[in-house]
Amino acid sequence: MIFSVEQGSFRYPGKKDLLKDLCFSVESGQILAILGPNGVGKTTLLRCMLGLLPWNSGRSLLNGLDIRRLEGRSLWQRAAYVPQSGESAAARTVLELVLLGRASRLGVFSQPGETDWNAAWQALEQLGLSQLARQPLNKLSGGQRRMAAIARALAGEPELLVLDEPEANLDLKNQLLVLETLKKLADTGMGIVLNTHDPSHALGYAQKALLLEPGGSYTVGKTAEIITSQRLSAAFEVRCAMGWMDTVYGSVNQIAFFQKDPIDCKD
Amino acid sequence: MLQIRERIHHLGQGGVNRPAFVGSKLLKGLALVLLPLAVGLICLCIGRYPVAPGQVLKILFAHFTSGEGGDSLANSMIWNMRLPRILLALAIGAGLSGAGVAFQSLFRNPLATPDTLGVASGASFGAALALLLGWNMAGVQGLALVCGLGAAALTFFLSRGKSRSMAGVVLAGVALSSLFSALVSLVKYVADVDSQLPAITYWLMGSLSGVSWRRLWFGLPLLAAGGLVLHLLRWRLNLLTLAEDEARACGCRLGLLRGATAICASAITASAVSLCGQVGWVGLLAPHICRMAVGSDNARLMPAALSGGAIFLVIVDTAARSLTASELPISILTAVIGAPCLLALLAKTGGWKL
Repeated sequence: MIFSVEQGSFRYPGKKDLLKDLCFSVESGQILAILGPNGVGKTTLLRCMLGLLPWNSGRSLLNGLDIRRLEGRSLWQRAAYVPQSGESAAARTVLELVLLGRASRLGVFSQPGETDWNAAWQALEQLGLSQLARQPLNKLSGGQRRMAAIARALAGEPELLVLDEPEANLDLKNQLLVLETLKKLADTGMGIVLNTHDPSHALGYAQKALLLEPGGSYTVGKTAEIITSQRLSAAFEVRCAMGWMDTVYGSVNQIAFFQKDPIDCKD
Repeated sequence: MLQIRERIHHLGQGGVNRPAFVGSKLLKGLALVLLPLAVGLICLCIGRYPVAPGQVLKILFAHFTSGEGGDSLANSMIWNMRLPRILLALAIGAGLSGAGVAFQSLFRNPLATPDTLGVASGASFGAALALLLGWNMAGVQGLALVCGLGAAALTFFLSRGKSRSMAGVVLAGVALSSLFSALVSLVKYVADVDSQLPAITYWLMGSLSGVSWRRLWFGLPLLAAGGLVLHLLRWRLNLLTLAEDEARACGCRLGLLRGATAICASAITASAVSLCGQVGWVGLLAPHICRMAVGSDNARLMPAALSGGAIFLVIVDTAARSLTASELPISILTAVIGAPCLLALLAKTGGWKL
């Protein structure tokens, strides 16, 4: 599987260009992290690349085929999307939610059958959620709900998984749980695209990074080449220093430190 | 203790506790169909002129075999008056309850009713206008149907703004609803106080009396078609309650599914109002009672709500025609019986669920 975007541009009606001539690709087994300040168009980028919003110009290709030429459902049998606020008020159980991920593989009037049931359970088992299958979603913690939303996406057996800030609003342990899960999924050959606010998450987990800057410019490439203190300072308008830290747990991690730009705090 | 045992059981299976797939249960499905019919059969016997169950069965059997049931008083009463009325109550109850489930999923709002799109108010206006113009019952029914569907179409047309949100649709529906209510009041105001006004008022309160086989055949097909499509779409209705992008990412053509749901539910509501006036509460009450019993998965909720709504309305209608010497308007009874039922269930289960 290779998913690529060619010359993707988007602007909301009556506004300036938000995304301009974006070109990037992600392959099976890769994690691509998208970074950028608030309002720069990270979510818009994810929605455009999947056709949930139409590009003004340019296109998205799945294995070289324009996704607009794929029949509606066949795209969603191969790609899955987990929006940031994908939790509704409905009092459904985890299993009921995860089964909905099979909708792309079922006819309009059909009910989920044994294959769908097994796929849903496999997704639950993969994420260690089998114990929670019969729990109503509104009784779960934020981390468990996020995992359930990812399980819903996995139930459709996608080759490409796109997530909007999957670790946002979670505590430290749950952030790592989600990221480690995504890493394992990538190791099984899934292509993964995610938005994140944390450069160290990108450094720790993503092979590729795309840094969006205000004004529509961007850089994309190997994570270590993109996440540099200079680029982060420019994109986020903060002072940034990066260093290596021996974690004592047997790994040396690259981390970033930030400080508010002095221009902003004159008084 | 139980928890520990469960945990041990779980560990013993090496962390795999995937339950086997159980398909839709034939027995349960059959019960959901047979139960309303059985209640209907019992209600056939009840009335100010009670008929023994044996005789009722004999009359029905005679009609199905020879097409004739003799010319006794019991026969004409059972076959020409009670049976069409009970079938109507079953159909309307099932339809309004199913439409309620559909609207509550569509608007992601537990308080949505079959009237949220202004369908019932539109249909009421149509009926009131036809009564004012002195049309016959077929005309009243026809104009009610047309105005009800017209109101739904108008709501959808008016809410086609730049950003089409479901909240916008609800708002347009509420606005149209009050507009049509005002028009109904206008019709009542200009109506003749002695003849037309009582007819309009009584019709608006809703009644299943005086239904004939002919009116039944005229009104039921649309209602049945809408109910059938909603029933077939039942699992997909769950997608409507997801966030929009999440539903689309499940491969759902959201606009199409919303449109189909709204059209079916509106067709049911318009047919129901055109047949028997405004029967309030069923579309809100029956779905919530069923939701408390079977949960909010529409795949299970829809059949239960269709069946439950049918049972509820046939019982209420039987009470309406047999409790007092003169018939009680059914809307009063659905509220008087339904509201306490719902409140009791609410107190027991502790809260709204969708």
